[in-house]
Amino acid sequence: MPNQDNTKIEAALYKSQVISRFLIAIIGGYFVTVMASSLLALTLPIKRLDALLYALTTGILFYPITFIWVFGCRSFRKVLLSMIGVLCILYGTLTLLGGKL
Amino acid sequence: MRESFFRGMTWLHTWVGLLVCWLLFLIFFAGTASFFRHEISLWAQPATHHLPQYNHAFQQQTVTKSIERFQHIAPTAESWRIELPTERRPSLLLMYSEKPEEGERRGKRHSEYLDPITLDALPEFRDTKGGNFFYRLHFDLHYMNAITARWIVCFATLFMLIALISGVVIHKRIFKDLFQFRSKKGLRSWLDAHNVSSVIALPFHIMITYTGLVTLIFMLLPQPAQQRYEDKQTLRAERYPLLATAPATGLPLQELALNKALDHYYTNSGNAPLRRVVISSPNDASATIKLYANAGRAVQDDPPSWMYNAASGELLKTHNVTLSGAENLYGGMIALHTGRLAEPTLRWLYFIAGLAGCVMIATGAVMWAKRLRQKLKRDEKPGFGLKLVESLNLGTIMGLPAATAAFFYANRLLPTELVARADKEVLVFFIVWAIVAIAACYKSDRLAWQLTAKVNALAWAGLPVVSMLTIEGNLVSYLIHKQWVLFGFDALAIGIAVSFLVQARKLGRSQVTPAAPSRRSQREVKI
Repeated sequence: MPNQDNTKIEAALYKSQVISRFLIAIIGGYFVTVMASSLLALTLPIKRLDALLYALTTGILFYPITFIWVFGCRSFRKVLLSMIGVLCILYGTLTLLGGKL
Repeated sequence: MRESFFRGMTWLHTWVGLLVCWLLFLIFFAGTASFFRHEISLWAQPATHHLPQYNHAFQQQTVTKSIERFQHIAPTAESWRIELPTERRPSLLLMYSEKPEEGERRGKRHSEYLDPITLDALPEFRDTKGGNFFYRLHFDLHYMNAITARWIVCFATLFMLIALISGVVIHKRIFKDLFQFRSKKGLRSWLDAHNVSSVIALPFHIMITYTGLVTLIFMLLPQPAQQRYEDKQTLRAERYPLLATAPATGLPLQELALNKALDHYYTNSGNAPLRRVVISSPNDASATIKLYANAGRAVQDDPPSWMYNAASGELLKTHNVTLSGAENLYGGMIALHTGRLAEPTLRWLYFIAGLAGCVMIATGAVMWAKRLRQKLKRDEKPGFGLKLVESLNLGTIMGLPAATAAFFYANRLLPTELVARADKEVLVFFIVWAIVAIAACYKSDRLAWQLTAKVNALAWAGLPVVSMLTIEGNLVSYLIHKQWVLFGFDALAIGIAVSFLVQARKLGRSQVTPAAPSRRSQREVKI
């Protein structure tokens, strides 16, 4: 019965995609937040304590935005690739500017 | 595309919400109670019931007397700390810490609560955590490492933020829902209750969730701080400049220039009442006096503070007297979360909004279970997941209020001379919660809800009575003597009892209606 097998495979695929999306959102979202707020703390051209406080109080926003985007975006491949891309860009910029992780 | 986005968001809202809803209910419940932290502590400490409202004009006198007392009881302490009475805490709190023994980071700490005018010890002072229990519970949980607990709470709060945002996204008719409550319409009523409680207090929910994260942000995101600071100590010194004190010289202090420091403080702070006085290395030539203002209604949690040389009374440093934009934003967010700035009306509004949050979480969790129940075919057995959710719902939503009532009973009924009494009160809280939760695993149907509602109603109604029998004062005497906090506590207990009674009656009534198989006649109940 090829039909039933197909639905089974589809269900399994769906499940694994959901779990992967959760992992991408939870872990990827955290690192996006960490690096984006670190970049803010590093680059804002004001006193270092002020830069840090601004970075921390506004940086939280990156988390829900990333999370919702991961679940709102239709194509799974796009989510995965963009997440990797964004993390690489953030990490690269941070390292280039002399930031620490 | 648009439809699938909404479906994705609905899905996200449901699952993210469900995953952490019981923990969130605990956090919201305990957090809402801690808006009345000092009021609960006052109720829990009958020794302070008869202290009159403290007049700030006596502050200088209280501070002088406190220092005389410290000289007498702890002349060699590492620091003395005076917490002056506030509008919400009528007693005087004196604390001192001993010099740390070799190998210890901190010395032993001692504290005592006193009458602020006479400085007499309060008679029959009982060992209790009072409102502080709920305050700690809402971010440190209990019986576990505080840092682990805070990570768990942070994680749940992040999920809450996501559930809130996705909840707003899936709401196509947010304004209309504000005015729409269709009662006795089954699942629809639950959805309406969920929407009304969410939407009415939505700004509060978003504010409290976001600022809650800000209070723990240095733990949640440690990396930004590492960018321009070499280490934690540098950051600490910059954030709290008054903490850095000169090492002790070993030379004796000639005279404590307290009055000079106080005069300077009152002149320069516009006569702001004091909240706290700290004297570091008292009786040493390097001693300093730190004066912290009572921030009052200001949207700032960290109070303006002044540090003086104790020998000369000269001003050394100030902190938070003028704030930068970033400090204002950060401090303001924390102040909004803690609500210490709120006068009684605003405090009640905080409390009601917090309750709306509890209702939002509870209705959401109940709705999930109801929906799944409804989808079951007639003879189909409910699966493990559904049963688990139903048990957790009953155990948490009905268990927490019962445990809270039990905590208050323990406060009144446990003998005052009991060893580690405060911990035993907490133990009673968790035992009662565990009993309800275990019972909920066994049975979580309508009858179980009705029974727990009755138990809760009885427990809360009995609380003012037990209090009246065990301590001096009751609802009428509080009213006559205008002890509004105590009156409010008892009145609230009765109010809670009445709402549980209403719930039990509704549950009973809908049981009489024959459970017809059609969808529409499945009546639901309100919490």
